[in-house]
Amino acid sequence: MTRYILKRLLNYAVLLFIAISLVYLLAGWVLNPYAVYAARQPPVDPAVIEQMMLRYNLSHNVPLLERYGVWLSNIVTSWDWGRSPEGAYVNEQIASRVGVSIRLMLIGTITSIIVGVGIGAWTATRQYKISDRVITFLSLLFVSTPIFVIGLASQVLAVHINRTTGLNIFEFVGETGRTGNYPFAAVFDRLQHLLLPTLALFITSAASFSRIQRNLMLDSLGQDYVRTARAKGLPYSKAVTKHALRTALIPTGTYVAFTVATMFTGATLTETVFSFNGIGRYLVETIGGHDVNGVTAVAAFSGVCVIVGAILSDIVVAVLDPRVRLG
Amino acid sequence: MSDVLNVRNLSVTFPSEDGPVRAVRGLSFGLRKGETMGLVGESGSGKSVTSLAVMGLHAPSARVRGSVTLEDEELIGKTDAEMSKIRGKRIAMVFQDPLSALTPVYGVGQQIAETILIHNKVSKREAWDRAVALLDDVGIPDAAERAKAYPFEFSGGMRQRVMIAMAMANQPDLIIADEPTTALDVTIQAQVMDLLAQAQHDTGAAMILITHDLGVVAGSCDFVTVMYAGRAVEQGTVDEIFSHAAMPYTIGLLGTVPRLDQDSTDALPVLEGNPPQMNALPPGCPFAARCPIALPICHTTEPQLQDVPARPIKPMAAPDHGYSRAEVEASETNGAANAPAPAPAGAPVTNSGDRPTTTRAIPHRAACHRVAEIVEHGWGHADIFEVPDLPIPEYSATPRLERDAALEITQLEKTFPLLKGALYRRHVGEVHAVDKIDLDIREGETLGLVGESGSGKSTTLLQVLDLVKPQAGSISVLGHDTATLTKKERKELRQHIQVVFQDPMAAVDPRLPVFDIIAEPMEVFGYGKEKIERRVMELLKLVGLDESHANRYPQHFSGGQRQRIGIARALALGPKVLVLDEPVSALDVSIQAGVINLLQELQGKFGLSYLLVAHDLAVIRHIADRVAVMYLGQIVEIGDVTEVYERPQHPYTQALISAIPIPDPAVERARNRVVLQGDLPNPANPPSGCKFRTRCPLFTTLTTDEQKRCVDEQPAMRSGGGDDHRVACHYARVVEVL
Repeated sequence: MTRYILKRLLNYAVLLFIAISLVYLLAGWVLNPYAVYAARQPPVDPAVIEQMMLRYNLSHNVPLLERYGVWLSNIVTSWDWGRSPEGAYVNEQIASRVGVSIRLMLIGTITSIIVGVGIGAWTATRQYKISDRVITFLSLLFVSTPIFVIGLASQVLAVHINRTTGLNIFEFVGETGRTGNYPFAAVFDRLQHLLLPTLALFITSAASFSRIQRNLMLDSLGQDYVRTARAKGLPYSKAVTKHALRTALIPTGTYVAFTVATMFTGATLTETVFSFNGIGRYLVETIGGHDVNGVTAVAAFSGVCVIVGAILSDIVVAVLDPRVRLG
Repeated sequence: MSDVLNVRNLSVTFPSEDGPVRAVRGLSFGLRKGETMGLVGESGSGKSVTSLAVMGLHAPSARVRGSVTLEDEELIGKTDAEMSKIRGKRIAMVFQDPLSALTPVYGVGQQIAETILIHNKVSKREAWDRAVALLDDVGIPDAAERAKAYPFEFSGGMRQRVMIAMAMANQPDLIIADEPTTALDVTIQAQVMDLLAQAQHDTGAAMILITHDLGVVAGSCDFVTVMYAGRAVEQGTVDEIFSHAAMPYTIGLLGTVPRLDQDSTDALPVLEGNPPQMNALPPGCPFAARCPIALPICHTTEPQLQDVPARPIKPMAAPDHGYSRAEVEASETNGAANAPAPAPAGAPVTNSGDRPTTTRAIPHRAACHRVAEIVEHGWGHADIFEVPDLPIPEYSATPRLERDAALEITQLEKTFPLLKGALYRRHVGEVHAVDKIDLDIREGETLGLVGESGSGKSTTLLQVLDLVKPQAGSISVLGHDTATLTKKERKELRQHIQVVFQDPMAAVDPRLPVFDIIAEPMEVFGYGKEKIERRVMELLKLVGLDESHANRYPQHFSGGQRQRIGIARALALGPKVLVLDEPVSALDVSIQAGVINLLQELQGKFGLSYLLVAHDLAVIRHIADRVAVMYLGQIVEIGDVTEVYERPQHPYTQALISAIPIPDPAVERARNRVVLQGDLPNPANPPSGCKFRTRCPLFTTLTTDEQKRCVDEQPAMRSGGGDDHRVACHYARVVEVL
């Protein structure tokens, strides 16, 4: 078993290495870091630019493969993922932005999983009743509305509420703002800023979780073992939660594991709408800013998240399903 | 003594898009402690709906009317919460498919313990201990350890034991068993039926046994209610119903089943047609459309269930059974009042005659306008139902060894790699699915292949159908060795060997009209358009379908008709050999007979050779000329079908034959039964020497020296006396089990 997992990890590592190398070569070939300085006023001396480019291992006068070699040896020897055309350290950028992304997404992701799965399971037991139809309509509406629409709409609504009440209940620009002078004011301020983006994330993600869980639950409600559970004397609601839901959670488990792992790669649109400097936005910025090293680092980070997600979901399935664990 | 369960005028109606479906209409019966009632009928007749309505587990949309009382307490109208206190405690249920009926993610011990915890104030520990004790009671070896196992780690028979343990857990007053053995092998069926009888005895419960297997009813019920189109059409004691059925449907049902204990060369009487749609019932008797003796009144007025008039002292037609009416009456009154005492599960030989007949007489009632005439004239199925004529096969005069061989298999072997592991599959061994078997089929002959699931029957069929060089040994079809065929020759040979599958629903493409389904093989072989058209019409007529059906899709046909489509397709190229893989096992008994007759008729007409796999040994006896019994990939006994059934020599054959209940209560009671213990051993790790010795009832009676031979030496096939009877057992001897 252990040998198998190690073998699988090694496979993943090789795959990841190839993918990252290709990203680096592609970015190095297509992106033009010189462009960052081209529009500067007053113009920067080309010799100075070239000097910087050489220092940051971005110079087009050095062959691409040679730059790749330097880049790779820096990572291997000192875990240095390079610098942006302006000289910022990629390592620092990633570290701070992953933190922002997690702060943005943690609460939304976890609550949407719990609430979405719960609502999905519940509506399945009430199939075709009014409550089911209403929730089905709403969740389809939210799933099909782009998140930036939801984000902007929530902002408009928040402004309106703030105006009518005259209180600053909602804050939605950035992570922090004006802080009061009372204990835990900083924490409260952060939570206040988190409220709207979390809500937007929660609505979309809970809606899609509830759809998935409803279908899974409908499958398992029709199973003979639910009938057996009731024949034993369990009331309907208990038979449903203990027998149907438990089985219907197995596929959800894999999906959740994946969602949690990829949470770290951020949500570009939400970050943009609410001005959070998370990793999703970083990816867009690095591409726009011709940041070869930054792009590659984000790609590498996302790759690792996906692989961790895949491994996690395998483990979750084995834990939840004895047929996989022992079969 | 009052009734434990009393059902009065029960009706269940479901709403549907095409109007209300009246699934059960005015059903009444009463059942006392320790009594068993068989609920018999074709699929859709309302048996399962009845049981679910009694349990209060019907769909919420269903309308249930009438009265169901459990010890004088009315159950209809109780809320789910109220019924939950009764379900599992006072009424327990055993379902058909024990794999899907157990929750896959909980251990079996936990699931039994749950039943105890719901209804009793005990600690988890106590409930667990009790669950282990129950598992032990139902014959799960090493119960304490096995209680931790999950359902998927158990075989079908063991899962059904778990279900029974669950049903017994709270000493219920009523056990409802819904087709409890339908998904199981015959040997396991015998074990489970014994166990159910024991469970009933231990708990003193009344039991409703829902089944389509009339043999099972004969062997274990006191009363029978025959259902048709949602109504009870006949009710009475098991002896009355089986020997003096008074309603044409019951008479037909009983006559249409091939008998394990009788040779038959004639066709089976056929109960034509299908039950009516339950949302569009005809005004008269729902059976009238299929009834050969229906009168005009039958089509306009539905007959009520009424007492069957007394029979004339001397029956005008001789009864089909070898005992007189006086004996039947004697056995009815002699039945002891105490509960039945089945033999303990551990005994290798039990006598099903231990179960006394019913303790009380209930009126024999039937719903038929002509019941008086039927009783007066003593009409049996031969008087009412048409028995089609079978053509005399042209080969019948030639002894088998003088005919050409259609199929010859010598020392055929097939192994599968055995893989194991959760996240990746690793090779852990080999399974000998087919282990050096020899058999041959002559022209115009039928060989039946029998054995439990996993004995290698299907693998043998697939090997033959592959027409390629086998791993070891040889297969020769119509004189062509499959190992030496060129690609062209192989295609050529495929015309001559065709197959009919078990499940007629799955074996025909639902998106093709019948014409295209039957035409497909001919298109492959480049038949001309006109020839195909002519041939399809010819084939449709041949298998008893209407030419106008050619443009319909499979969904418009019943199971029996679909199987006929499958047979027509198999015949399209004019084959010499047909491989039949459980051709009738998915069909209702009344439909079975027609398909069996068709197969025999086609064989007679075209001199076909059949290689037939069936788990129903009665069907094999009826159709086959010879039978081969397989166990763990080997043939243990082979020979003429009458010879093998009447004088079986291998202990496995004896067990297999004796496991099949015979649809005749008197015969069932008098039978000695050899019950096999346990399941098929792991085929990857078969026992040394004789593979059957671990379950062999004979082995346990041998001396240690004699046993040594079974352990060390694999028995070779040797002559069992007679010209065509071979058996692989060191200590083969005849035991008559019929």
